[in-house]
Amino acid sequence: MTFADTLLSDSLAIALPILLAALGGLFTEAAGTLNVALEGLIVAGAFSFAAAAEATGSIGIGIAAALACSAAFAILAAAAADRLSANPFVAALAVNLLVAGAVGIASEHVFGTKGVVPLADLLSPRVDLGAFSRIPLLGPLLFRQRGISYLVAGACAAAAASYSSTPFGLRVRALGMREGSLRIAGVDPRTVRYWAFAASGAACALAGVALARSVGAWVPNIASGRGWIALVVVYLGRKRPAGLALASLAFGFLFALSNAAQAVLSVPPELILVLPYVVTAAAALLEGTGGARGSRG
Amino acid sequence: MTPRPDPRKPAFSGLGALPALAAALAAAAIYILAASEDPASAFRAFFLSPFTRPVVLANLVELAAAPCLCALGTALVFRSGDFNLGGEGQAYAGGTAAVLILLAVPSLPGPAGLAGGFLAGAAAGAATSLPSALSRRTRGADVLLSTFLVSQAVVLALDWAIAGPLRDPSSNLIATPVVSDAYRLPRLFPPSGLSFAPLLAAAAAFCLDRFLRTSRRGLELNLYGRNPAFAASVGFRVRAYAFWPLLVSGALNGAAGALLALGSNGRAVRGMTGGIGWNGISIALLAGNDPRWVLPAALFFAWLEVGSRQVSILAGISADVGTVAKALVLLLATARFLGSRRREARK
Repeated sequence: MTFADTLLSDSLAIALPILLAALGGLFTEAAGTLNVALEGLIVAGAFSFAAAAEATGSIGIGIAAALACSAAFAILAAAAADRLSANPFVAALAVNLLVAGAVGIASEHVFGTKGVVPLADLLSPRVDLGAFSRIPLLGPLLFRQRGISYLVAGACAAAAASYSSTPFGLRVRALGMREGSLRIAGVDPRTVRYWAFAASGAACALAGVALARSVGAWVPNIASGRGWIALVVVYLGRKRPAGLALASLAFGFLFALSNAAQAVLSVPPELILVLPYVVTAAAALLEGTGGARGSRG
Repeated sequence: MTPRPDPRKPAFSGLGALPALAAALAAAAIYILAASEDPASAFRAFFLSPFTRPVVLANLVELAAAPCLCALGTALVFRSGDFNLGGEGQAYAGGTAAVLILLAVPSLPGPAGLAGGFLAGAAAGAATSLPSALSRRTRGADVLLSTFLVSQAVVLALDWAIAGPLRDPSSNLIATPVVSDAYRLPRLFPPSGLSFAPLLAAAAAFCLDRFLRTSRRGLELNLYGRNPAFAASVGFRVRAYAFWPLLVSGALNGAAGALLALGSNGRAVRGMTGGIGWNGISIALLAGNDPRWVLPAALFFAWLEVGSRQVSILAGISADVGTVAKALVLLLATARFLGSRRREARK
């Protein structure tokens, strides 16, 4: 593959898990309470997948474990806010910390180490669609990705469709815009909020599975900031699925570029990674709503 | 941006914080009970060993100082109705700036150098929070996201700088050169690392408490945080209150970074802040954003940290038990338990 092939193909592979996590975040943002625990939920999903798949030898059971575990942590944050009147934002920050501690402990018990655990069986192989994959640029980009990337792409499409055009998506958006309208329609807003959080957990779980399967290992801090980037993507993408996709691709490209930079360009990779934060920070700083406290609603 | 739930309402402080503390300690105890072959000695290591040796206790008190400064600034921003999520980058910038200034002027008298280092650290921390504060003041932009993003950019840039152009090539650590010995925080109780930093933190807590409870500006800030529309309608300087708390918080985070750099390391080490910004948020919330309770809350966190380190060394239990305990404190720090829920229901 040429440099351009690799760069584009890697950009998409990196962007997809970020997009999926961001779509999960979008459900909660639209429901009125942004779940800032995406980073932790990705780690929880990746770890529970690695542990369960390694123990049972079944990728399917691993994915089921990841979905259950991340959704449970997400629901914990929602429940702390709902049942104990905790600040939902703080509760989600706490879940991030809780996952970090719990995964550290669990890793010592399951794998006997807190470090990297190579799990070659879990590596998702690259597909090769023969003639298709030899099309210049498009071939490597679309037809020579790892198998897990297609699953994640499908999940992204399903999440976007569910957000835009299913009754559940409509209820989630209605909850954020006018909670009273749900009550009038006979829908319990609390249930919808719990489901939105569970959806964010499930999306992050699959993102975590994709990260673990793309390296064939359990790596501590495997999310390495992707959950935070996903939150940024929610805002940078203007809270619309298509916008989220564009923003994720931009981040994916910058990550891929920073990976390639060390070998090919003379720019240090850390400095390339600063760029998306600077761009997004500039966008956030310039987001004006007219006067102090204007944006608090 | 989403309307945020009110972060200013102190959930509880002082005795009211007991449920969060109890849950954290209970979780630690249950895990130790389940994972240890000799629970009695593991319990002693976690809960008591920090108090049995004066050196360990002195280190614990020193450990509380920097997060205490961060938490004071965070509490001030909470009182004004905002979140400062940029503590990590502000502290990192402060620590690095303090070291760079002191490396540039190696022959000042010690106290003058230390004071200069702290000022440089505070200025760098404030400068890191300045873009967010300015956009808050002039455009009403939400600082939650902007403080975090600016901080992340600063962290990545400093990670690069410390590993690259600022690195001391003769050291195995990824770190800057060491500052002159005269600029290191003097140790009050060697061989422990105890310095005057905890006194500085206590003094800062005292000043902030006096400001918030007895000065006109402090009372106005409180009112503004609770009800900005009301504050604007009675002619308070609301634009100033959307600006200064963030800047002061940045400065306190920067000073905390300087404490870290000029303490045991004497240099800026890559990744040296190690979550201090997040700890600051937890401590501020545990203290109910009340400066009088910030130092005790910081000491409690330092105890969890030292205890989990001790239990890991002495009893082979994962040090992450401390992280889980801290997470539970944060999870429950803003919760309201049955009593207050009933009270609310009655209202």
